[in-house]
Amino acid sequence: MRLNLTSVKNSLLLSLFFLSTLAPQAQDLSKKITVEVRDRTLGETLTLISEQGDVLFSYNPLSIRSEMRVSVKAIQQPISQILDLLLVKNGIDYFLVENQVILRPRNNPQTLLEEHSATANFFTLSGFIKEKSSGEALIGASVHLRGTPLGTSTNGYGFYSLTLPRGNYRVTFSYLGYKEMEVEVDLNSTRVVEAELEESLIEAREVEIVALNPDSDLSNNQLSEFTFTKKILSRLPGFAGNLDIIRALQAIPGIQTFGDGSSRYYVRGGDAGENLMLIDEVPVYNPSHLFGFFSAFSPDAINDVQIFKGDFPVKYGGRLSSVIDIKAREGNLKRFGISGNLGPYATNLTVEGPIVKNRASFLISGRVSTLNWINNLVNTLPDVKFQFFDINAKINVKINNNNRLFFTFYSGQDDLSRITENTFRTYGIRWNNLAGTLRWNHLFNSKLFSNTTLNYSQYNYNLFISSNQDDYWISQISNTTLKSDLTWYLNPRNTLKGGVEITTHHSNPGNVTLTDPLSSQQAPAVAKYHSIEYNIYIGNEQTIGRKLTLRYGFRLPVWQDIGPTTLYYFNVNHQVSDTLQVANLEGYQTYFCLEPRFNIRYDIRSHMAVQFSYTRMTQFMQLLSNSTTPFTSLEVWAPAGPNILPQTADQFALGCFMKFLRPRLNLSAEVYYKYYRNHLDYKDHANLLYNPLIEGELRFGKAWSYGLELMLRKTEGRLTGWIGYTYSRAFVHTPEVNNGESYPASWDRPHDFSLNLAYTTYGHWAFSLNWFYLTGGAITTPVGFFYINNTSVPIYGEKNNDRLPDYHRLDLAVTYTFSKPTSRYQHSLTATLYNAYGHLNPFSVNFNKTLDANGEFVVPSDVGSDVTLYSTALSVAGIIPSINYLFRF
Amino acid sequence: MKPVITYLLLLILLASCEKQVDWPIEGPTPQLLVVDGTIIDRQGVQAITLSWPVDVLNASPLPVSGAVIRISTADSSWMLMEDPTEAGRYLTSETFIAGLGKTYTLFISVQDHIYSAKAEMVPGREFAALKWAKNSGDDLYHIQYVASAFSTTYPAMWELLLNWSHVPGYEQTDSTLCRARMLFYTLPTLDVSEIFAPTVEGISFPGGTIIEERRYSLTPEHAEFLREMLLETSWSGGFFNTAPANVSTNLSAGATGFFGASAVTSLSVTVTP
Repeated sequence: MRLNLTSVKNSLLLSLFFLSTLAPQAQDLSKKITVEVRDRTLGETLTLISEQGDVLFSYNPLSIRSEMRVSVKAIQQPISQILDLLLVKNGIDYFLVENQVILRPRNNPQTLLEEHSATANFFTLSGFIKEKSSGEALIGASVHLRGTPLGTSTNGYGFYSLTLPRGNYRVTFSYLGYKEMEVEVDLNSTRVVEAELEESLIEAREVEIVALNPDSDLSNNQLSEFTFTKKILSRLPGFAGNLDIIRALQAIPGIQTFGDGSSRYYVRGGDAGENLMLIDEVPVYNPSHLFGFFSAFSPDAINDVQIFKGDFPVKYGGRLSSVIDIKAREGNLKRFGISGNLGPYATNLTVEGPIVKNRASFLISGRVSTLNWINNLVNTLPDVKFQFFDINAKINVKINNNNRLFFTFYSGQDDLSRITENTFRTYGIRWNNLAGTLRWNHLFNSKLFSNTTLNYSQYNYNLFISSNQDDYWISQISNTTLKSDLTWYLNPRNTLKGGVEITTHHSNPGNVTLTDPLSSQQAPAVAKYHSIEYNIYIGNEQTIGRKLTLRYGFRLPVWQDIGPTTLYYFNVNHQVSDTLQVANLEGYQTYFCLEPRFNIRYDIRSHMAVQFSYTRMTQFMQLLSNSTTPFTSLEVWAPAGPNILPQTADQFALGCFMKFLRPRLNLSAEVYYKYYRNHLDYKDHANLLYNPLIEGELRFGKAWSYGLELMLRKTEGRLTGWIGYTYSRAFVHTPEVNNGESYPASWDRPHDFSLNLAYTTYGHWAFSLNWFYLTGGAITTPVGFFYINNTSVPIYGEKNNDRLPDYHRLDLAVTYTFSKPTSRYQHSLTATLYNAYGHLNPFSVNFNKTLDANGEFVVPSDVGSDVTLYSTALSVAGIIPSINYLFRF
Repeated sequence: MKPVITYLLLLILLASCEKQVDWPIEGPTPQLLVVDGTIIDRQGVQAITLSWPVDVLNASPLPVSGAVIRISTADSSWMLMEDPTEAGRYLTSETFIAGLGKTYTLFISVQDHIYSAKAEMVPGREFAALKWAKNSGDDLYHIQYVASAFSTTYPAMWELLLNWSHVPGYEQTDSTLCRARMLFYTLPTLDVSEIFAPTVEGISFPGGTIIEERRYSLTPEHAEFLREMLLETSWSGGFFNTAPANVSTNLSAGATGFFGASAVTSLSVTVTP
């Protein structure tokens, strides 16, 4: 008898095998159940899940091998996660259709890509991913095809594009801290799928950060990159109850801050002036308040922070060591809201809402220090004035589906002065940042995304040298940029990115304004700088086969200095040999540079990858400072020119990323080597504050740094955080400094350990801590003393011959949330302890102080008498407590 | 209560903490000849002091004896002899007035090494007297203003010699406790660590104190030497230190210190309420 196999097969396909006889009911795959199975058949296991979870499975036994032996251990896990573990790992997809969970063998688009790349019809799936409650873009959100390693992530504006062969796909959209969303897409034409993700509730009982899809590959783990989402930032202790980006940076391997109260940070052996900080693409030159105690950005205005320590995308340039790219929030497109943070040192308030619902929104966030107000009220220190404020504003207009406009404004100012009758005690300083950006997002089609930006940034630093503040020193830097970026999702294997950019730079490296006509006439003028920078950049991200990804490209900056200015030429002894008056707009120096960028990534397994990158960066605008202070002091910026060669740095990095599923941990290990050319250094006691011949104070050499960075990170669950360790070294060799001998950079701190933990209870409490340990910074201490005018003067041997004591600090924060997550009015109380165990971390050691009658260390002023001097260590911060009330409605 | 809380908050946030530390000085200390001498345009004996560095803080300077020192110009020369009452201090055997328009060359011979330096003088200037003010908590006074700390054209060092040993109530006090010598500077440069220099010891004195105020003119090189010295001494130890380094010198052959020539103008005032 001839068996009609075809008919049997068809009948089996048509008649689904009902594993369970439970009546159809609403299936809830988020229900948590416990399943512990060891070496049992898939069929038995599905039965167990069906019984415990009240779910109904349907599948074709010819295509699904129910006798397959499986093991799974899941305690109180959502059914969806158990199925991910059980099925997806075994090449089986599942779908929820008509209240049944349907299983079928995976149709792997990756295979389709390989097999049919020449013949298959490809269509593009694109759209924006937004936050459901506000309509704001989610940056870096994951788009992933269930059961495959294929996926992408949204760009800085929440846009994604994925080109695939025709077919049915289960597409998941996920973002850390948000509930995952999954849609079935029948991709038989170009499709636009917009996703709105719902934030996981703040209430402790449901606070677990939603897991990223376990199948998602490691594509979001880029070499030398780190991202702080709003959610992660909100879980860090911050400073004085304020979310603080600079202090958050300190917790990342490879980034070291100077120490307490400092906003200076050093990345992979680079100096503090080699870091670029952008807010909505516009540079901010001094990102701190109160010398660095407070970050310059209002916490409520921040959406996302991306940190690049190396492997820089081609769109970034201009600094050697890091790019901190801060994206400001866009404002709620759906409803009005007010949020604030009331604290003892600063208070901020944010108002946001729709201008036109779902089409245009605004956000205004302001922060002001309360110290001066309180001081005025009680008149404790009447001659001292200190205050700061910052304002962030953003307008976001969705013109239509293909065009969107953003306007960002930032302004921040600090004032610190002490005005007395006594000339020796009178001073005043003020610094302010002003930045604005106008951006236009345009979608030419589902594959071509453009962003055109016009931005302006200005930074002023005033030093008042008279009590009525009309005599002052001022330095300024400003730039205006027009640029256009294009992202072309060319085909499934290639994504091209490119752009053009033109920037004008203006810098006043420090001049004085004096009211006395004679003094004013005699005061030398320090020449101002004007430059134009052109940039072209192009790069491609290319996938080769299943496991290999290449990212390559280049950036071509052209720098031109123009007049008017006075140009000094120096001889080999750094004496002026010639002077040139340059006319307005006359070019006098041009530099062409090529910055190749290359990254190769190999996915060893779906949860393990290795990457290698090479990056060259060029820095034309230099921060001139020989200060050893942790605080931002009087900054002077000068461009590359005839006497200042552009600095370049070549960086090689090799990294390995692993993702563990149980528990969900990410492990990364990176090694890097950086080599600097034309590294900026200074003659001994360089005079940089007010010096027409400032360029003669500079010296140039080379530098190199290398290191190993390890990080174990847990991003999901009630307990999140990371442990980081860095071993790094940084050395400088400048022929005319330190007798031509190499020396460790002052920021050379070999061992750096950081621990960050955040825990949210089932109740209303949340706890977080940071602990840091760093080797002390390299310093120069005396090897002896001599006397001039009865004053003890130190003698030094080798530069940076000594080290400060090791640095360590613990920060604690506890938050009690009063409200339920469903309440419109959200409010909480946060108590923070900066440096909780009060460890004093010195930033300088001195040998010139004596004790006065009050027991204070002072500099002796009577040179006619003999005094006893003491070696002393100066530190700034003991325990700094704060209690802040946060609200949002 | 409010002021207390406020003060505590300010103190917590802004106050620094300075503690004495036991910081070993790890040598070796270089054996540099240290030269300290400024010749002036006043009739009298000119002095040069020579010493060796010390390897611990507060150690007494080690005087250099047996040196042969000569100061010369194109047309004159003066030998200096060691002061028998103070080792390491060398005095011209005859009085002379240093003047403008001349280059003074210092030669020092010590232990078979020859050191030299050149100095020139810029003119002195008349000046307005300093200002003083009464302390808020007692009947004593303090210096309020000497001169502008910044002048691109007329740098100067100001020496204040205070004497209140003759003031009633202080006659029986040890005279060394009734005198003070203070130095102030007008320099053609601005430095962050100068502007935010650490707290200086307060000197208080009674009414009737006689203050002799002397202004020393400075060449640009001399002003730069003093600037660097101040960066390493009086201006060091604040919040805005600059990278430490050895103070420059105009001495040759590895010696340190400075040989200068200054025009001195002076006046004397008595502190009155």
